[in-house]
Amino acid sequence: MIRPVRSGVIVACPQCGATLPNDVITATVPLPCRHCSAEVQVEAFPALVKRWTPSGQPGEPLRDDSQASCFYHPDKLAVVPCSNCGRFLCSLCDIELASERLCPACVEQGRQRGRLDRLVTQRTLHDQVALSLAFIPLLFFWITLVTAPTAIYLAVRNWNSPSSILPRTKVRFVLAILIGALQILGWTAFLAHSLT
Amino acid sequence: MHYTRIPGKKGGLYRRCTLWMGDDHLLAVESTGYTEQYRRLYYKDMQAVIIRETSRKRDLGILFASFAFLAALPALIHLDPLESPLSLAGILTSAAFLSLLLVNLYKGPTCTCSIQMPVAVHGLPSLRRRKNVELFLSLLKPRVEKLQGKLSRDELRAGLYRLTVSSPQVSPMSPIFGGLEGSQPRVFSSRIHGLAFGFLLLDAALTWLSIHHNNLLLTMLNTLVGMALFALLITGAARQKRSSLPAAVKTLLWSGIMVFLSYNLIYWVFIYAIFILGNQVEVFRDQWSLFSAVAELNPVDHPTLIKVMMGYTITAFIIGLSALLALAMDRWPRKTSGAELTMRTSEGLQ
Repeated sequence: MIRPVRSGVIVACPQCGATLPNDVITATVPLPCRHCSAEVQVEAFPALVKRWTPSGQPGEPLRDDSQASCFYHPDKLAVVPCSNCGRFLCSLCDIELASERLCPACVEQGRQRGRLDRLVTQRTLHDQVALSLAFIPLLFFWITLVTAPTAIYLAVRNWNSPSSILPRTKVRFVLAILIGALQILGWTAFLAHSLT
Repeated sequence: MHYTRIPGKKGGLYRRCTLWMGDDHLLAVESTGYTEQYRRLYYKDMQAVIIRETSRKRDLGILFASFAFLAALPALIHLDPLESPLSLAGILTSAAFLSLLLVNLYKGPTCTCSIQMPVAVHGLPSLRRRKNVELFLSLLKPRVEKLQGKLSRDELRAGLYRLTVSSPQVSPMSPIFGGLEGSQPRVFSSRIHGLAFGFLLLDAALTWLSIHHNNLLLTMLNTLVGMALFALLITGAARQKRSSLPAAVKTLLWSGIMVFLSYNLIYWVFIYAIFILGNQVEVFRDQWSLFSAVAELNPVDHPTLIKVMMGYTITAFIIGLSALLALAMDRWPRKTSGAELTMRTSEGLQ
């Protein structure tokens, strides 16, 4: 669950939403909220009291012609090259992402193509889909005639597709292909037997 | 990116929440089995971890112990459990609930955990046990301190004072969440809940009486109490949203609604089945005929109906009594004086 923070409010009680008094925020043990008596403990970090607002710094202007200029702002001083395309960037265009310095174009391109794991907010687990398609229809048997080849197709088609950003092996793909292949073999044997 | 899993998860029918720790951010993952959704919470932006203690461990303990006791009842009544298959099944079920009770005790106190970021407070549903939260904090703090630096208690106090002074428009008790803007957070009087659970007990008692002494007066009284109970339960459910009532009471109210509705559905389906199968369709010609026929019905002639009514009576009693107990326990700290709160606060500061 995500709740917006209203400006000016320091820390709110997670149960009733009332602003917690400073002594509750600074305490090292759970203390009751003055409103709802919920026992609340706060572990505060420096960002709570510093409240800085990160923002891009405007680039410095060029002092003479010998200095490298930003690709996107020719009158600004280049401070860093893009880690992906190598274009010179001023401090305004420099985007730090996963210890890389990227230009806005590369970030946008990476986001659209799903290449930047840092910007991914959702992934489909194709291996799980293929495995389920190979396994679950076994309960209904007849539909495996259609689902087994589909499971193999999905496994092969999505073998290299981006999957979960968490550690994950390809064992589900392998299992889906094996089970699908076994079902197809079974059907082939059954049809051959029926025809002869 | 290398991620380390933080112990604890919240599993549902179709969603599972887990928490992973990366080099410079936390990753909250919500998985359906076929898709995963990610939320990244960067250490450099984290402002605070907020932990609220909950009564979930106690509620689960009461629930498991009650079920274990109820399941063991047939075996306790028949002293030789091996002779009756029902008793044997009861003992096995009771053992299963007792093991759940032990697991619950082993896992320790429960809580909710959320992280305050610059623009939003993110709930971490996977962290529901205090033990996991302590481990999570021990892993998180060094990483946050590496990026933000350390913050002593004195610096925190001074910083909070500075923030409070520089934002005079914010009252110390002003609400934060949407929907409550401009008003004080609602501290619920819980009177409706008290009445609803009282009526649930009354309804259970009347149902119990009607098993043995069913008559027109009792049926009318039972119907009236049932209608009032339904109105109270619905009103309570509507009003408890965003109130400061304990989660246990809210859950028990929803359980009460489910039990009441299920019982009435099963009861009336059964009554209709009795009259239709008994070729007594003339009782459906008007409401009064049906009402009189129900009043004349002797539940003793229908063992299944008795089981349904007994089941409702026992469940309603357990829910009603547990809820009234939870309400009574919740009221106690609210009545504590300001001096006591100050004392507890100063203890915490020490």
